[in-house]
Amino acid sequence: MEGAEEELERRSKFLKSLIQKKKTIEQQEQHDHLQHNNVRVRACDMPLPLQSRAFRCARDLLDSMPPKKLDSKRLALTLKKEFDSSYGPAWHCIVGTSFGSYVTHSLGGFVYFSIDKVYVLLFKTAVEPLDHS
Amino acid sequence: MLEGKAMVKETDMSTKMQIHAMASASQALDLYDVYDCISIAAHIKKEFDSVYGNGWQCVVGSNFGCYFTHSSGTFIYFALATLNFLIFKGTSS
Repeated sequence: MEGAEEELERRSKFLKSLIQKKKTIEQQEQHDHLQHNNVRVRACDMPLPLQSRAFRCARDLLDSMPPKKLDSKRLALTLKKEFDSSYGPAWHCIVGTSFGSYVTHSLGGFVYFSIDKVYVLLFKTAVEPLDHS
Repeated sequence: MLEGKAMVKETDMSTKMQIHAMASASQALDLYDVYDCISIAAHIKKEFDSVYGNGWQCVVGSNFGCYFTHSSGTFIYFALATLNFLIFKGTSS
């Protein structure tokens, strides 16, 4: 019985170390990705895949715009529509160099980040059926 | 209003609600510095949540563009002093 306990403990430690390694690798990949895209997360309540999607979308669009010419509305539109179609309504997006906000968002549906010199706020709110009464 | 008159740029709100929005913004500017956009936005959002029900969103600043989905009759975008204000209700109902 002692042998069995030792074996269980050994396996448990092995699994824990595997999980930790995976987390470390994921964090490193995320960090590398952010550095490469000049993205800095300021505040967040969003799964990693959605974050990466937002950063990639923002980066691609900024790269396609003329240098030093920021079209805030177009970036906001692109992000909002992509997230509405991919993750369901209703997403809202604010882009700019000087703004403050106070919002209520759905769980797991909020990210505030900077990319180059522009700030992006992307968040989701619940959508309820229209009241026909 | 020490800040002067507010200028509505776009809205689908009732006139009464518009007036309330601009009064709330003016009040916030009396309470907070013009650079404290977050506190100003918080003041307005909390007021609208308490008076008209939860789900309001507020953005305040001098440089921003945005795209959002709002409930019918709950959207206003106006300028006051050096700032622009966006207020809307994000939850359909």
